[in-house]
This record gives sequence, C-alpha cells and structure tokens, in this order.
Amino acid sequence: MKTEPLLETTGLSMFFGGVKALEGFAMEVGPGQIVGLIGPNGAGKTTFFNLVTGLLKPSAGRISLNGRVISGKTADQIARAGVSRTFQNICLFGKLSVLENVMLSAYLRSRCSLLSSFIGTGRSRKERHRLRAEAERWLDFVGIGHLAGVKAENLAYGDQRRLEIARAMATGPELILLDEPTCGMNPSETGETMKHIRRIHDQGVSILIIEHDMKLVMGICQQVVVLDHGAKIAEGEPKEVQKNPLVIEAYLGKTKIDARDQ
Amino acid sequence: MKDKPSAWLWWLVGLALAAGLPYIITDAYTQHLLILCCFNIVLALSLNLLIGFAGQISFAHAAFFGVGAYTSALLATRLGISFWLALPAGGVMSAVLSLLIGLPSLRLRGHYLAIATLGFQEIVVIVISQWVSLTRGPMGITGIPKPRLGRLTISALEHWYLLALALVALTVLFMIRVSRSRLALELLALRENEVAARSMGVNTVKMKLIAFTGSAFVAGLAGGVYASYINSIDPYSFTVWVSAIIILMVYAGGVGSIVGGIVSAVILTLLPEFLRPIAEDQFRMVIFGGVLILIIMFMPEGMAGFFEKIRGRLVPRKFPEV
Repeated sequence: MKTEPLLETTGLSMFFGGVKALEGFAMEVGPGQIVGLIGPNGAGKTTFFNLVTGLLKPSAGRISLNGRVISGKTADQIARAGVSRTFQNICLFGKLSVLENVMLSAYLRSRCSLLSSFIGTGRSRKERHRLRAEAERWLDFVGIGHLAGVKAENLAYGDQRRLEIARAMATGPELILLDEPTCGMNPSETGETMKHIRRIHDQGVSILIIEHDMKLVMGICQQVVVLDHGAKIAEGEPKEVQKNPLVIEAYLGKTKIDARDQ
Repeated sequence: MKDKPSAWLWWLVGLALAAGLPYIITDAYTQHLLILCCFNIVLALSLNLLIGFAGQISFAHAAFFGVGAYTSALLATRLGISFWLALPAGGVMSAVLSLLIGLPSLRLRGHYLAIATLGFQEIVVIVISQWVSLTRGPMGITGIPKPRLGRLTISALEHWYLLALALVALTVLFMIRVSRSRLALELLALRENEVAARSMGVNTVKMKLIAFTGSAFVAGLAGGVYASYINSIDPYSFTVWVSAIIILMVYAGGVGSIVGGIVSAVILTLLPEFLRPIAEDQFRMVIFGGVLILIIMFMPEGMAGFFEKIRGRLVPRKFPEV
C-alpha cells in the first residue's frame, strides 16, 4: 500500500519565452522523507524550487501538497500551507538582527491579528514573548543563539547559512526545501550542516535538498531525483542513481570514481 | 520584553517642552515657522512609513497632502461641514486615492515605482488646477473656515501651534506603535528582501497597500489642518517639489528613524529661513541645495545613522529590541 505523498508534481513545465527550464517533470516527496535533487548547473533545480514555493507560476502541470493543489497560489499562501525554503544566494534580511530574522518567520504562526499587535494588547504582548522564545530555540538549534543581536549582514558566511535554516524552520513547515545548503562550505562545516539536516528530519519534517556535494547526497538522502536540461533522467535510491549510466554521463562522471574510493 | 517606560517619559518631556515654546517665542513669524515645522514633521513621518519601513519610494506625498487639503476645504466651504468631520474625510479621500497608485504599483520596483508615483503626483496637480468647476483651478479656494472647539475659534497662532502639535503627537504615537508591532517586522522584511519575505509568509501585497494608504491618510489629515490654518490653498502648494523636500527630510533624518525624521524636518524647514538674512533669494536655495548634498555625502544613513555610528554601532532605523 502506497502512502499518500506529501508533495507531488505532475507534468510540471516552465517556459521562459523560448527557454525550456522544465518539461513534464513529475516527482514526489513522501511524508518524513529526505529527497535529493541533483543535476548539472542550469538543469532547472532552483526553477523547480521557485515553482513549488510559489515564486513562479508553472506554464503547465500541477503541484500538490497533501493532495491539495498549490501551484498558482501566492508564495505567502504556500508558506502558510507548510512549505519553507532556504536560498542558493543568501536572502537574509540584512539590516535586521539575527533574532528579528527568525522572529518574522515565527510570526507566521501567530494567532493574534495585526491590529491587536499594533494596539499592543496584552494578548499580543504575551504572544510576542512566546514567539521570541521559539525564535531563540531555533537559533540555538543551529548554534547561533549567541549572535541574536547581530545584524544579519554582519554574520560570517557559515553563520548566515545557518540563519537561513533557522529562519526557514521557524515557520513550522511540513516540508522544507534546502537550496545548496553547503555551497561554499569546507568539509567540517558541511558535516555540521548534515547534522542539522538529520535533526530536522528527526522532527518529522520532510526535506528536499538541491546539492552538488555528493557525499552529503549519498549520506543523507533516501531518494534521489536527477534533472538534466529540464527533464528527469533518473530517480531512485542514491546507490542505484549513482550507477545509472545516464546520470554518470550527465553529471556524476568524475564523482563516481571518488565515491568508489570511499 | 523591554518596553522601555523611560522612552515614553522622554517623549512626554519633549512634548511638554514643545507645547511651551510659543509662550517663550512670541514673535509671530517664528510661531508661524514652528507651525510649518509641525506640518513638515507629520509629512516626513508619514512618508517614512512608506520609504523607511516598507522600502517603497513615492514622489506623490505632496499630492496626498493636497488631496486632503482640498477635500477638507471643499467640504467646509461648499457644504459647511465642520472642520472636525471634514478633516478625517480628507484623510480617507487621500487614502482611497492612494489605492489608485498603490494597486498598480504592486508590480513595480525601484525606479519604475518612482516614475509611476511621479506621474501620479503630476496628474493630481493637473486635475486640481484644471477642474475649475470643482476646485476653482489656479484661483484656489479661499476663506476656509477655522475650527471651533466649543466656544473657542482657533485663530490665535498659539492655539494653531497646539493643534498642529497635537497632530504631530498623534503621528508620533502612530509611528511608535507601528515600530513596536508585528507590522514593523513585516514591513522591514519587505524592505530588506521582498522575495524572502514572501517566502516566509509575509503578505507583501497587503503590506504595501497598508504602507501606501497609511502614509497617505496621515498626509491627508495634515492637509486638512493646513488648509484651515493657511486659510486659502491653490494647486501650486502641492507640487512635486514639495514631495521632493519631504523625501529629503526622510533621508536626511535617517530612513526608518522617528527622532531623525522630526529633527530633519525641523532643520530643513528652518534652514532656508535662517539663510534669508545671509543670502539673497536665489543663493539661498543654492546654499540649501548644497547643504543637502553635504548631508547625503557625509551622512548617507541620515542624521540618525550618523549619530548611531558615533555611538559605535550602525542602526539606520530605530527598531527597539524585539
């Protein structure tokens, strides 16, 4: 018996004028799964993320979350539906503090209205306390609690990446999309990030990761989907995908030899 | 949660001191200048909501000021409606009109948005000066009645100053409440990175509209008070040049800073007057322009940012610890 997928796309296509970024892309993420999305640069991976999170409207096809169609909804609606993400190019709120960055996300789960916050009712104050505590919890989760008051743009690169994760998690998502979370990191930082990803997984959140670091993909992902030039060329367990000649040809090539050396 | 009670104390002290000013400075012309400062403060603070918090740009602020003035003046002179009712009507009218620029602007950013608001500003002035049957065009509206409070008609300069100061106090209260609420977080997130804000669940459409209509409403209120104070208005008091000066007040004070907005509005209102005895008319404005350039060059984060830098940390806007 197959369980209902959390995220499902069918026939998803995205054309930018004459450019075919994605065509007929179908994939799914099961509840509590970690799925890796790999492929050469320009394959359409980030475009796919932008489609799922509502920053783009698909040219054709459908995206569903828990059986309900989300393609065509606005980005903030989809965030409220339980999808969160980090960005390939860090998109923090630079002039806001680390804590403020995460508090904004925490406010997604606010039960008070904007008006009551503006007036400053007792209820809204209490809730601010609660959300602040939650934001601090997420900062500690990624290990930057001590940097709460620092302006986000002043953080070191690795801490900025961690903040992105904390901010995305504070919205309380069912599904989190990580776009190259270890981009530009050294092996020890990558190991740290892998730990965070595992701990996110332990919380029951489903994860979809775009990555180029094969060690991470092979080490963490339960399923891997391979994109090349806008089309899916393989999917399956990491070990199988690694052996797929199409994938090797398109992408893994040299890395397969490295993997065999492990 | 640190809601500093001492901050309120400072504001109250400042308000009390400000309220006492016209009894110390009794020269009529200076009192008139102080009243103008009040109007400029309200305009600068309300524009700050749009520029400083929401990170949008608008050249149309004078238009909203003018729409509020004209609405209030017309309701009072044509329909005999009391000042106290005409005033909020002016505010609402400005807010409604701001949707005309707010809605189409949702897709525009940066320079394109600036041009669109510039166009809107020009259109409003043209409509006011051409719609002669309604607004008497270039001849303007005269004989705008003064507000009555019980048996007192507000005509003495001291009383006008207090009324204007009350408007300032309300605007400051409004801005402080915004800056301490969830609204500030969402607006600032919109300003810093719109795409990320949307992805984190901020309804940026709603936020932009709130910022546009909120700032326009306050500007409209200020317009209504101004119309009654100045007694007669014409389209040329509400041109794009006025918009530009208000924008400069916002940047000179420090985008997002309430105190900065107040200080820069006062300085930039009084500066041309202080230059009057020193230089002739044309040179006066040249010097004024020069001062503005110096501010932009040496205090790019505005006065508020400049002082924060001196204090060792750079916070270009006053957002209290959450």
